[in-house]
Amino acid sequence: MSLSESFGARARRQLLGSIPVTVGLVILGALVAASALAQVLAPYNPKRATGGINEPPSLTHLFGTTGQGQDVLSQFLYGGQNTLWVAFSIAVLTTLLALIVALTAAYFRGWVDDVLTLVTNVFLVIPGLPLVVVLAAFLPPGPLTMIMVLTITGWAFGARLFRSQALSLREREFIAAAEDVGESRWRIVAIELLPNMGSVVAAYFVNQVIFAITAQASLEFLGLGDGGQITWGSMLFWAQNSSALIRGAWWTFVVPGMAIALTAFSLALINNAVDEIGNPRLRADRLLRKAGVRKPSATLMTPVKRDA
Amino acid sequence: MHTNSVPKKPSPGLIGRLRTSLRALALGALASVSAFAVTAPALAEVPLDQLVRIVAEGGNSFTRTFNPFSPTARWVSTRTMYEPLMIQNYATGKLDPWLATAYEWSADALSLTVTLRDDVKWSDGQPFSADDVKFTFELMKANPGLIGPAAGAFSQYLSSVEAVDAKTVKFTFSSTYTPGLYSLVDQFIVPQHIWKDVADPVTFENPDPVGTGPFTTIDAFGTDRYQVTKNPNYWQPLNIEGVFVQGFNGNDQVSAATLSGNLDWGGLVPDPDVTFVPLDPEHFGYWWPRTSVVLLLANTTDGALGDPVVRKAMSMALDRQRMINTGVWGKSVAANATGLPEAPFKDWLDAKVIADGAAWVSIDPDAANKMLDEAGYAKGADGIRVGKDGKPLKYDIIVPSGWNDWVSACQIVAENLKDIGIDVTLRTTTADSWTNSTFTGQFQLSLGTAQRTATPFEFYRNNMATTSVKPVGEASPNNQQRYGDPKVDELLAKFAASTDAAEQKAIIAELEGMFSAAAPAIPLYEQPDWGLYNTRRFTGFPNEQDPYAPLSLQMTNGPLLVWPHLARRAE
Amino acid sequence: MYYIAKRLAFYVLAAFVAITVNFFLPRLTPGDPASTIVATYSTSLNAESLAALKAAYGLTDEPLLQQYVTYLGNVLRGDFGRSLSNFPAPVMAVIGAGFGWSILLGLTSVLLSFVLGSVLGAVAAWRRGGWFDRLTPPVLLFLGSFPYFFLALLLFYVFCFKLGWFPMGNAYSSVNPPALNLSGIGDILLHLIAPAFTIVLVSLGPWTLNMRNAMIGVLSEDYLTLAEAKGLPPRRVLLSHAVRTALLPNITALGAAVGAVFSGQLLTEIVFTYPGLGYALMRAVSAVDYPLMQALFLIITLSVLAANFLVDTLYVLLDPRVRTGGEA
Repeated sequence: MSLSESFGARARRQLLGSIPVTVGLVILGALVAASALAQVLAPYNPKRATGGINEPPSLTHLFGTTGQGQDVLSQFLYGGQNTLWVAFSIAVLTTLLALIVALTAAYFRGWVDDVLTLVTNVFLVIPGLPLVVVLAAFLPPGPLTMIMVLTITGWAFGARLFRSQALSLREREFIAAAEDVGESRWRIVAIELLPNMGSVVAAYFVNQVIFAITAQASLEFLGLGDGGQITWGSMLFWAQNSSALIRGAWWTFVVPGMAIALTAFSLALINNAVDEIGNPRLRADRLLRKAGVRKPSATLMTPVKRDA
Repeated sequence: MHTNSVPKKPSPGLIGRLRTSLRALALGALASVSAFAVTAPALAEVPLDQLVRIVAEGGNSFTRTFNPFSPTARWVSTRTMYEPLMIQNYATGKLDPWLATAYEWSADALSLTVTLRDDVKWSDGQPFSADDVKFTFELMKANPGLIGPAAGAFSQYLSSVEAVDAKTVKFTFSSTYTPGLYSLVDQFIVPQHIWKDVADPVTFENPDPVGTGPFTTIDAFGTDRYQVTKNPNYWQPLNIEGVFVQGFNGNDQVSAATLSGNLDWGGLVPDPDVTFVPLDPEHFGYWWPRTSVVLLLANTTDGALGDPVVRKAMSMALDRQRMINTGVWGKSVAANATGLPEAPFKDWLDAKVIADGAAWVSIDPDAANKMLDEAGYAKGADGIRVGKDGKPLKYDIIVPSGWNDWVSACQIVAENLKDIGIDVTLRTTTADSWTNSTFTGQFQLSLGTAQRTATPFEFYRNNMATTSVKPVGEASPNNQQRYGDPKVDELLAKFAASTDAAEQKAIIAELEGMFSAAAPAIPLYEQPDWGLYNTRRFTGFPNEQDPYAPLSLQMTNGPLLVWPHLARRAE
Repeated sequence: MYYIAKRLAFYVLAAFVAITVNFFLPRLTPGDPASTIVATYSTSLNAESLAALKAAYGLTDEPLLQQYVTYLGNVLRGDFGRSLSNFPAPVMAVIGAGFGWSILLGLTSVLLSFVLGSVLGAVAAWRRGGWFDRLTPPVLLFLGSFPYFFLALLLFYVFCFKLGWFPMGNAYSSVNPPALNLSGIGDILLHLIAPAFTIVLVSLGPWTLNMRNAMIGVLSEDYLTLAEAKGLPPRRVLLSHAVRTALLPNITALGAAVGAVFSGQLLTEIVFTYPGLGYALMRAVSAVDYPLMQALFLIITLSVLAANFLVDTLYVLLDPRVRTGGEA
């Protein structure tokens, strides 16, 4: 039996039925669509002063204007574009890097595994933000720097997660069987291991998007981003810079902040659901609850070693 | 002792009550457990309500470094502890006597005699004398790593310093250089009897300073604040006990403290007429005199930016009034064509130069476009003009990210220049990276401002003289745009050799005309010197009605003039 | 003890890597500390002054490798040189007390969110399906979705500036550090509430969810069902068996959390003007203060390593299986 099919089918069935997932998907979809259509939807040029300074929300400026007189709605839309593509790139790159490291370790085993594990663990214990701050300070500001810096510092946890997942899968009978039959190790990694890691990889990827969005915003807030580029983080940076809250211009601050929080929240909702599907115990618990059984009977369970 | 004196204090609410009861509990229990209490450090702290609370230093990792020769030492080092011979007062335009009462040039302008006050003592009770002055200058000569207003004097124009008698110092010059006066008398003086025993004055931390200034006693020092109290031997009467300096991390935190009335003397809140003064119109005030000009600097080594026609066309595309409205809440005026601020240099300004140059510092994008068309900068397919070297006129303008007024000015520059077919991208950087790029000439467009000086001599030397042009890559704070004219050097030399005020004025007028003709920098608007005060507890701050000194805390020359005027308000 | 020795060796190696990265990172990037000096002094520095200052700052033109060896020796002796942005203060004096405040804030918030999260998670799992279980995860996920600095600024604005419930920053009210008596400690705690609360709010989610999920797993295991069948009161089952077992994964995560919280803490400290290392790091970076930056990065890394090692040791004490030398 290949777990991948059942995972896909199960995911479709369960994810679409769950309320949190629906809420998450709707929020995320709305934010992504609005950002993607910024060029169409934005009423003004986001970089130009098109109104007075710190005008509160009105019909001409739905989300008000910034301390420089730019339209907050237009900035929010264009900012979403710049923020989201960078965040997704970082998530894709860190996931790929983590997978490559984990599967290489699982494939070669022996000293390669030892070295890669050591490198991973070193990256894991070196605290992220200080390193990121130092790195970002020395490279020219811009989206590429952001992607590079956050990829370098963000992959290690995934590598450890994927490696232990691969190791535990390797113990399974079907892999042992494949090895006995004499299938090549690459084939085992590609055909047997990888597809079975679907739920873990998916959950990790979603987590990485959240990580990337908040880390990016934090760096930009500290002034280490490219201030000329409109992102949600740089909007916050400028809001803070012109003392928006003290001057009562809450809209310049709350709009990008809520955009970041809502994106992360919608992803977290989806992730939590993915997690429940990937975790057989929680899944069984849920199914039983649906069936009206308050406490699951132990006989239904097979304990599965799960990496926290 | 968290004094929260917001006029309308909201009711405390749950946590407020919790806090009150926590405190009551703590205080009540204090008596019973005092046997276990660790005794506080045995320093006699002057109560906070007797101290002027100021915001002058960022950060919160304060160290006890009071070496006045280090610009990164504590703020008080050169504002309350060590004093100069005379103070150039930028509010009045006069050279105020301080540790010295008078100066006199010799007829050939090759020696300068300075008379010292005879009632000055060091804070440890030792008398202050001409020997201390001589010692300070010689200490700086022997240790080139010591930086102060007179650093480098010996290598440029000074040949010796003599203590003629206890109260008379004679500076002998190697060449005539009358502007040297301002650097020499501006030099803060350190005590010989302490510093002669310092092994390495450059790395000396000076944790327990001995100075002639009003506040030299450090009676409390924490990680993010400290207080400095009276010098028992100060030579002037003082009506306040001392200063409390608190570190903040950012604009918002400073604004919050200022608006809450937790500061007596501070820097900047956005739009004070709206956010600050209305909170307590009787006590809250600000005064932003203008003693400098914000300049748009174009790197003249960069292709078309080297062409004065391009620079002038750029200048005519700019909406200066909008920069003033957005960046400084309307509290400034557009700069004139001489590059000099009006108030401090009103005696030097030439009305004809200003009138003739008015056109190129006023907004007129049509005329600017016409000038560029005629000069052969045709527009390319994308609407961007192309330089004579075939390169499109596309530039980056760099600015430090926290400097709001400048950042918004740069945004407006970028916007306005698009209207005349010049593509400008705003790049914000950290302050230090910006300084690196501008000082080494590795930039295209940037903003700058002139050092505050006693005469316009330095402004024209630092912006037009070949002597101030450093090769690109070598750091220099002056002439970042790398513009030099040998004719300017000649005029400056004539100025420096002259002791005749009328002749000096004529030379400056000529330089003003050359500046307006060549536009080595583009004057934007006059830079206000931020300063605000809260007179609920202390009175006597300088302001528009009583402009006896600058209010800005950042100038080295302001605070020393202000301390003797401050007084604690009666309860 | 083999396990602990093995972990210790690993941390020493990690520390060495950090020290090395720390040295080469700033030096491999373009930028000249000498022009930073010129920038700092801003007056016209002549060549002679610049040379003297470079010497005072300890900037040399020696080959990089030689500088590295000198640097290693200095680090071992605890000599980090003088801070460029606080010259002539030694770097260690700048870091000084800030370190203690960072540790206080960090430990308080980590422990608080660990305890609070574990309790909330256990309750949610015990009453799973109930309103508490349904409400808690989404609310915590939502709070956790805010960047630290954003929530910190909001709290600062509302509770410190507008309502005045908490002091607007700093770690204590007096100028000299307060005496450690009741009022002094009360004062320190009062200043700790707002920043610690921010960190707890943002970081509570994972603790709660991990605990909840682990508890649900543990609760379904045979022996618990058996214990319940034997008629043990449910409260005792929850406390004595389930919670202890379910806590283990959370304790493992504690080590990693120290690092993560430290990152968020830097931003929180900046917003609340808390005198920890957060602002010092920012200042060091923006002022290109190499010596300070190096020392800060190193100290932060070493503290996180130490915390991880402590957690490892704690884990060994709590989980007998590891002592025999399982997977690290």
